[in-house]
Amino acid sequence: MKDLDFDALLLAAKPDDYLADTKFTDTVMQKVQHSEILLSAVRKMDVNKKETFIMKFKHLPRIAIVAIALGALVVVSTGAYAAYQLLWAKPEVHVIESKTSVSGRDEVLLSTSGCDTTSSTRYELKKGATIEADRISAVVQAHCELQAIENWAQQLYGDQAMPGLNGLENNSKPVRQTIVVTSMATHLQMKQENSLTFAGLDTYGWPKNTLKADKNVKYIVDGKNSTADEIKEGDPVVYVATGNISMTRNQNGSIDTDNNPERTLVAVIKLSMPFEDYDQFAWQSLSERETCYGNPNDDCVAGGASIDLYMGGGNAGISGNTIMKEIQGNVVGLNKYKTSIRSSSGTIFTVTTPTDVISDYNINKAGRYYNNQEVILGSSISVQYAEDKNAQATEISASYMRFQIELVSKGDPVKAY
Amino acid sequence: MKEKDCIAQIISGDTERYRELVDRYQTGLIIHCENILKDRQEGEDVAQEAFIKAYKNLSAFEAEKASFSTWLYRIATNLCIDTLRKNKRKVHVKDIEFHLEAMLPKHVEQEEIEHIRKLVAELEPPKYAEIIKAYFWEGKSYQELADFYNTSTGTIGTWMSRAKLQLKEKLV
Repeated sequence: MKDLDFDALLLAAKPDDYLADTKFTDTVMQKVQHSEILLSAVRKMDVNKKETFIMKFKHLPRIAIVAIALGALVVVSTGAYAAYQLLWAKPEVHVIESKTSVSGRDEVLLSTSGCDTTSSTRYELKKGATIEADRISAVVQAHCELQAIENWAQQLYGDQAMPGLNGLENNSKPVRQTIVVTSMATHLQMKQENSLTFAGLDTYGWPKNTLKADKNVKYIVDGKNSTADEIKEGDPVVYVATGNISMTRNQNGSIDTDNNPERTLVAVIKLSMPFEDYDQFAWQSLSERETCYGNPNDDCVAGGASIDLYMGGGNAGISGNTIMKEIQGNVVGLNKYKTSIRSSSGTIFTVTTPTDVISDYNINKAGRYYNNQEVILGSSISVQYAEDKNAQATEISASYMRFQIELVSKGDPVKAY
Repeated sequence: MKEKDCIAQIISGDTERYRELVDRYQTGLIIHCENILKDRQEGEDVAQEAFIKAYKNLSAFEAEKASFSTWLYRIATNLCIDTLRKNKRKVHVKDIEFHLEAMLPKHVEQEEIEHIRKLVAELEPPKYAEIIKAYFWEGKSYQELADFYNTSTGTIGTWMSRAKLQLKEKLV
């Protein structure tokens, strides 16, 4: 019996009277309940709108997902900035190289500063992209700016520490928690004496959002403190709001939270580039590419969805010098048990499977489950396989292998990459 | 309550029911992520993120195509891969997909469950039974066990291996 199978067996044998780690569960539930506050608005929408929203919502990157994060652990600023001081480092993104990839996609290599250092610097346009290649750097820069704003807002307005929920007894008194909501990129639609109305979120199915604007609201232009006059109707903006929610542990031991806290507008930030560069569909048009594991001469799409065509081999042969590798490419040859793909470096890899998995998938599964996304010449395929770390074989017939179709989205509809 | 019904209730607005799913799967999911990332704390963080991500996407979960646990473990596995990549770490020799396949919650007949529990209780010395229970059933980490027994995590690992070996020999 393999060791991990055995672990699963032991886990399955857990007696009912062993309780889960409530601290872990509380932390998850706390974050879930925070996001629930905004999701509750979705539930109130009509069915069609709700479906559209959820479809889009699930593809949004972290910055856009309503940005209800718990308070940052450290407050690094008191907000007393001089007018000339930049509140966050302005991201810079430049194109180093622009080319058409082996698979015919527009691809750029970027240099970045002021961006999340873990961000990739190689991007390509997905199938069905809503932008042209010459906008990739602008879209990445816009994304970096939104991340910088979100980080700034969390640091400035978030709570210093998580509330002490773990120590709460049943039927406890409520604990109050400040939440910070950083909006998606939007437009300032209307300025009134005591309120501001933002429009852009309804692109994603949200209602128009009008918030009170008192004298404490910060107005930020070009990353510096400014005045309300400098931000005009129609300008692309992000707004930051805070809210107080109260949480308590009820008699059943569960955490209850009030679901719809009033939000207080605290900052309006005029974005430095046109709204189109911040649009979520523009960002979703890009794929990050990174070096494939075990095949350093090739790039693979980072993350993303996929459909399994074949998984097999268990753990056979994975030991010693054998490591897992991956390769991605477009199908250039289909011959029953053999599928040939061309990788990003132009190398042809031929994958041999024990059965005709492509035909089986095309005939029995593609139509029934996957929106008729058949594997044909040109389809984007990825393979993960076991191989000696020093080997460079292009014939893949590993005893352990995972063979997948790359997808742009696995939602409804399924879209091939 | 059946898991499917529980999920339907969560989607219809009863958020609190999600607690049941977190309670049910947390220990296994943390161990799964820990195995891939080779780091307990990272494993816990990623498992937590996976639960949150699963919740946010619950309305897109298709119960007729996969069980919730399979879907949840897939989300967590992808997050582990992302974490490895973000940290510019190579994928470990122990293959990630193999981990996934092996660690997915299994249906085990009640008779076999009782047999395993009995074998665990009979482990010798008794501390072997204690560490198996603490790690797999109580969700304790190697570090917590090492602190409790005033020893190193390496020693806990050795005890764990010996305990599993004893169990396997009796099970085969």
